[in-house]
Amino acid sequence: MVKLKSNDDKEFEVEEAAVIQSEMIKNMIEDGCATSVIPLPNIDSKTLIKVIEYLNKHINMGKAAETGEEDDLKEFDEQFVNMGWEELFDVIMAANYLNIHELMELCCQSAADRLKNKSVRAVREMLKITNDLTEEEEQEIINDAPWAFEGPEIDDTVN
Amino acid sequence: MADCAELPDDLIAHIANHVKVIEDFIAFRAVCTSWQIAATKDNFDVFSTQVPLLMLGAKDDDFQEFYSLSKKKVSHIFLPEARGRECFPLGEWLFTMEDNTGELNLLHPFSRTQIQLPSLEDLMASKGLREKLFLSCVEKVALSANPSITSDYVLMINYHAGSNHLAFWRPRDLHWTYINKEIPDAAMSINYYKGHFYYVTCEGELWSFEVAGPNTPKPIVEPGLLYWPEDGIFGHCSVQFYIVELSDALLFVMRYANYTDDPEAGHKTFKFKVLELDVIKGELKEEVKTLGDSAIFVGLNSGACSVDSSKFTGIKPNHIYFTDDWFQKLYFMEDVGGKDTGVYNLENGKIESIYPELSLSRIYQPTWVMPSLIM
Repeated sequence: MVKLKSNDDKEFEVEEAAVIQSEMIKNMIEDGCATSVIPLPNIDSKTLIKVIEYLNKHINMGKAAETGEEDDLKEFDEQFVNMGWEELFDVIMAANYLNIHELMELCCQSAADRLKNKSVRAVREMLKITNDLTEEEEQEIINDAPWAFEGPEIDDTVN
Repeated sequence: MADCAELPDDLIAHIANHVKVIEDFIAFRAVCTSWQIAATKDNFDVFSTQVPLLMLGAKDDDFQEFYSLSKKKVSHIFLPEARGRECFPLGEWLFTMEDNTGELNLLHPFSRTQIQLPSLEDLMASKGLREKLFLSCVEKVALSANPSITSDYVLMINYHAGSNHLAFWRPRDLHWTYINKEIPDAAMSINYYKGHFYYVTCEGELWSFEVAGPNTPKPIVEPGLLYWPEDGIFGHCSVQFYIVELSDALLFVMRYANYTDDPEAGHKTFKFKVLELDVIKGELKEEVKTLGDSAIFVGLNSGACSVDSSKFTGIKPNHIYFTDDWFQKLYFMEDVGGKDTGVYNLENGKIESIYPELSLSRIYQPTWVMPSLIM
């Protein structure tokens, strides 16, 4: 077992087989730096719980193909990314920090999928981004592919 | 809680990396400065499949119109290089021909890059012909690879000059190279697939041949007859054939139309049939009843491609999108050309319009052109 500590001082025990999916922690263990508790100053407990849930489920990912659990895992992944934007960004940052490649891919793909066919206005509103492009700059981007921009079918809903 | 504004640039770039549709990538860049900076062209997978745009009929001005099936809108693109020229779509590129001067080019409609080809006169000379230029003599053209991505490609041309001829050009070749092999009938479709060009005649014969890339002195492998149809279906007067690559297989697509001499009516497609082609054995396999999630696009110069409909907005699975390609030379029939364009449901055989809101005059001689990201 490996102990992880979130930045709000909560400790979690995780099986080594699960936690070594994180390249960062795997390296720490191999270098003998993981003797007691591993502090994770960038990750809060709420996010860490999500990450551990993922790691535990994917513990035997290599074997999933043999045992026919691929569908099960796929369903889990779909459910797993069913979270709000802020939470998703928290998990992306944690996955990046811990260097968990598969989790990073899963969450970035989910983010990209949510942006599909969305209007720029809707994206800004959903993510509370203030537009800092000038009108000229925005027009320049659109001019790169005028056929690709917006149109009547664009999804302008904010969810 | 992470606000999006706190997301470091490299993670925004990582997300941008997963945006595979050009329309979405452009919108991504237009969100704010940090997203624009993060989403560079290097972060876009140029090999990701896109939905072809419908290039609408040529008008006599410096603009071309493109209709997006996903966005359901028409865009006017400044493209004086295509003005007054015959255009054959080749994926992202157009093969253009100036009938008066015989000037031939490859033209990229979105970057306006041109690749100059030896002229029509040179093409005729490769066969030893000295005749004055033949108006509208080019039947089909095909590329072995995308010139935007590699300079190692072959351009194949099928043209008519008294009889049916084939020639090719590769980057750095000064002249067209004539392929000294008589194929009796003009091509309905020429496609490149895994090292070979496949050539389907209007009789349904399938020929295959290889052309090596640049710097190879003896480039041609003799064309060989791969498949000869025995049944009568190919004798039908209004059938078109296409070869389409789908999920690592080659499909042989047949399009049936009713035809009347009435110039107001012309051809009207009523059915498609899809068969799998075994290129090793040279035979047609059983009929393909469903394309699954895929959609197929066929039209002028075959222009055939397939996409996974689930990845795109507004594209229907198991449908065949077709444009009017019964006559490539529609200059005399402006009212008719473009009429036989629509989308065919392979499950129930129903045909719908692709663009109900567009008037016919605007779609005269429409073709499929692959979009690409220019930044």
